[in-house]
Amino acid sequence: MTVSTKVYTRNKMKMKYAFGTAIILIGILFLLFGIGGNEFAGFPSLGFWILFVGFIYMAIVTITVVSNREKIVDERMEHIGYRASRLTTLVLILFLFAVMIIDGIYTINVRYYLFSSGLICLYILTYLISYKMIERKR
Amino acid sequence: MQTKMNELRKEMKLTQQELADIVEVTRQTIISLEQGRYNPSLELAHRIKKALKRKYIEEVFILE
Repeated sequence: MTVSTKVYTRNKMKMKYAFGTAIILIGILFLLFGIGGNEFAGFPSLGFWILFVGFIYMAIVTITVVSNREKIVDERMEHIGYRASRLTTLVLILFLFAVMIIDGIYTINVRYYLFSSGLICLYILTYLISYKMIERKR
Repeated sequence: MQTKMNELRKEMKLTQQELADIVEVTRQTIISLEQGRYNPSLELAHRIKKALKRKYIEEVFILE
């Protein structure tokens, strides 16, 4: 077991670029074949939305490469990350349980993509907050 | 767990960053270890002991 790992290696960057390219290609294919032609998340079609996500992803990866950031992840950070993940999972379960109860009282009519994106945002936000909270104690 | 890391590091005339670089962790981890807020793994304890030129881990970390 190594104590530390350099996160942004060349191979990982290549993988990230390949993943971004794949997203963009999927977006182009969706546009070409007219899959999901209706309005989606404020975009004219699903293909445009996937393209947008792909370009945003590529921009983030490029910024990381250009800034040449080398980050050390040591065992303490891994430990904090593990605890933050556990806390986040608990919060998500409680949130979903609350949603089930509320849906039982008042029927919630939300589109799946809105609910899913909200859930992803909640996960990221809860993870960041719990990570910072645990980091202060540890 | 009690630690003598702080005094041993100063004895060796090492900064927190220098020690962090030797044992390949972040400076924040060294701070947490010195303040006794984080207990190191056996591997990290060995690395710190080696960096501080001690023979035994017990010279650096004392189990209460």
